[in-house]
Amino acid sequence: MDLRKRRLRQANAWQPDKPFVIAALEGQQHSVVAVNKAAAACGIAPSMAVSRARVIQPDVKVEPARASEDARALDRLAIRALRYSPLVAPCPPDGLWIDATGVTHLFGGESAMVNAITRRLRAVGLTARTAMAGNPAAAWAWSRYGRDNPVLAPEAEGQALETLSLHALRLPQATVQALRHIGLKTVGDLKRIPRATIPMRFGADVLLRLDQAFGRAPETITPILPPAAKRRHMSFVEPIATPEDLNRTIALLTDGLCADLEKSQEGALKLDLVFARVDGQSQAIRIATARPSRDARHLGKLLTEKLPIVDPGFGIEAATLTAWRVGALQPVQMETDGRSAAAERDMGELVDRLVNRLGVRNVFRIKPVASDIPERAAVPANPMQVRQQTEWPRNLTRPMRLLSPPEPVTVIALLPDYPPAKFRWRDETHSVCIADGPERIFGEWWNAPREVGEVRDYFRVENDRGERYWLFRTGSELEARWYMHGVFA
Amino acid sequence: MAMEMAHKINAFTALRQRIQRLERLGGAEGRALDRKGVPFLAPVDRLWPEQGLPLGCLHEAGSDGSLAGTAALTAFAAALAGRLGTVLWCSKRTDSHGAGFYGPGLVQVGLKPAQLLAVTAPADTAILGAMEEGLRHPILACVVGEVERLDLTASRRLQLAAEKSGVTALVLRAPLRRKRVETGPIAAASRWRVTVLPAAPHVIAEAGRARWRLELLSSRNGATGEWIVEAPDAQGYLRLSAPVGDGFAKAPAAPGQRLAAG
Repeated sequence: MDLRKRRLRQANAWQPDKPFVIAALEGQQHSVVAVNKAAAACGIAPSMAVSRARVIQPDVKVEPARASEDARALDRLAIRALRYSPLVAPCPPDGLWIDATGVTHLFGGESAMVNAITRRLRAVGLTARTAMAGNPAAAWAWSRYGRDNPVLAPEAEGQALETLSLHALRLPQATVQALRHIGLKTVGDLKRIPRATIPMRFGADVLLRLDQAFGRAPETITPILPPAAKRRHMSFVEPIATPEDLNRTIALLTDGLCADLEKSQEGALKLDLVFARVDGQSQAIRIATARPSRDARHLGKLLTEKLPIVDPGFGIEAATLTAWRVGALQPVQMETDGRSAAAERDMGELVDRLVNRLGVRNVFRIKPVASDIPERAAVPANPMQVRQQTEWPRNLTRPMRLLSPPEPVTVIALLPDYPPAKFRWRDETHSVCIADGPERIFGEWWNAPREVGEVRDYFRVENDRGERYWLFRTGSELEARWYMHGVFA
Repeated sequence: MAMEMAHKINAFTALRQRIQRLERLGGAEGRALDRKGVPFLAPVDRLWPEQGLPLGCLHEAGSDGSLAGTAALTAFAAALAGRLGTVLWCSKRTDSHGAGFYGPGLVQVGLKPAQLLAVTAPADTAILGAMEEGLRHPILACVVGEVERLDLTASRRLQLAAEKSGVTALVLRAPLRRKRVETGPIAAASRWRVTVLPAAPHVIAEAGRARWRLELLSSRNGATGEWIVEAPDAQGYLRLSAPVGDGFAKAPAAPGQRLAAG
């Protein structure tokens, strides 16, 4: 449905609040394949005859389906989805398969990744249902027929699938009808009848789809390749599987790719290495560099480090190395400032190795920000960005460790505006020997409207053991709230 | 005569370097041998022939397991590392209730944000892995890691990586919550303990410079010791805590400088 929106928009015919359907010839009759929200609200549903839809809603707009255009649009969407994983395959007519093996941590977990994908699709105006499961068939079923939680936990997967309707198995309509006739409604019903009787009566496909959904039969998905990028491909006469062979393959592919990049004076920023296994499955490695690079040794090392996540199975018959994002990289020239250029390159290599190991979010520099609020004064920044304009004021004493968020403490003070005499924090009572303060910090109303009039009074206190803490008081004098915000050396 | 003298000095230097190589200080390939150590406190600096903490090897520092102790270790490491050059700081990722190092605090002991590259990892093993990776890159001067556990094998790996590249490794046994850190044998060139002490009694009841007990528990050349010091200054130098009399701190008289009368 959504993929067709663009076409209508271009034709100036797109009116989201008017009932609208897409129809195709199915057998002898024109039937509805997709409906928009307004049409669905009128009671028009897919697989209904167009004539019937017209009876329900006379001014419904009907557009013919154009399968080839839809397929092209789906391919474009698949290429855009390559940002999530190196292995993405379109699943016509309206689905995408994204192999999330080994990439979920980059998005902060499985459900976070699913949410990120859904949000992104919504932002470009596509309504989408997303699901994550242990194999492509289960994900297909759960995304279309599943309930509530989009991520299927491995231990709950089998049970959840059994409750779904037979449509979830990607069977032809006629087969589903035939199964219904003998009283089978859910996947679980089908699973419980003797297997041997199924192929004779309903065709071999039924068992294959059933096994695929439960991960007992492999699902072959052909990953889409990003266009207009530098690519090197190798096919092997005999399947390879040993680490030595894989290392050698990586070396040959990176050498070739770097030679190509040298010719076009570019450097790779994002690289995908996809191994095609003999059983039709694909395994992939994705790496990224902080600055364009065509150093075969460096790129090869980054790829080799990720080799342990590749499962060669019964053997690998082909490998493709794609640089799907490249940046301009001029040939290195001797400069008067040659040392700093070399230092930047070395730093780039170190950053790449660390990012490869820990993920891009875990390697950063601390960037000073001109803000009085302590937690805003230091933010993580791109590790390759060294030049910094702002500096922290040297005359204000700041702690070595900052608690985030500040932790509430209970405080006894002699008078409301006095520094604390005793405070209780993390189940421990501290009696204060020396206190210094207050240092008054005002809320930044230009950043957050609710900080208008917010004031924090910071105190440096030392307890009887010599431990030094940074406490602050906020709220009115009568209802003061105290927080622990940092620890001094 | 002068020739003979120069010859003797050369022989002496060669001998010293050989001993250092045997002691596995300053990097096996001698990359850090011509560099001086990190001077940070006069009585401590004298313990090593390079007039300061040797470079290109592993040092370890621990505390009493309190968060204040962790803060003191942070300042100790930042003060040392800040004078060496570019620093890779590896710490544990904390999603909530974290107490990570704080940039504006590090600057106050001499570690500028431009020299600092930070890495966070989910567990001790990943932190040690990141440290080892960092130690292979001579673009760095020092690699600091905050871990709770460090066994003999892991410490040997760090020491070997440090020897090879000449980068100095500094392991802080710094828990983020109050916790005792067990200390087994490790392959470090020196082991330190930093604990916070109450500020020296002072007539003005204000929090002055913090005081620490700095202990050298063991070192490759056998030296140990204990000092009461003041927390690092803006250049990252420690100072022996001044003796106290009549409530006023008396500055130790430097040679050639007289105390004002009265």
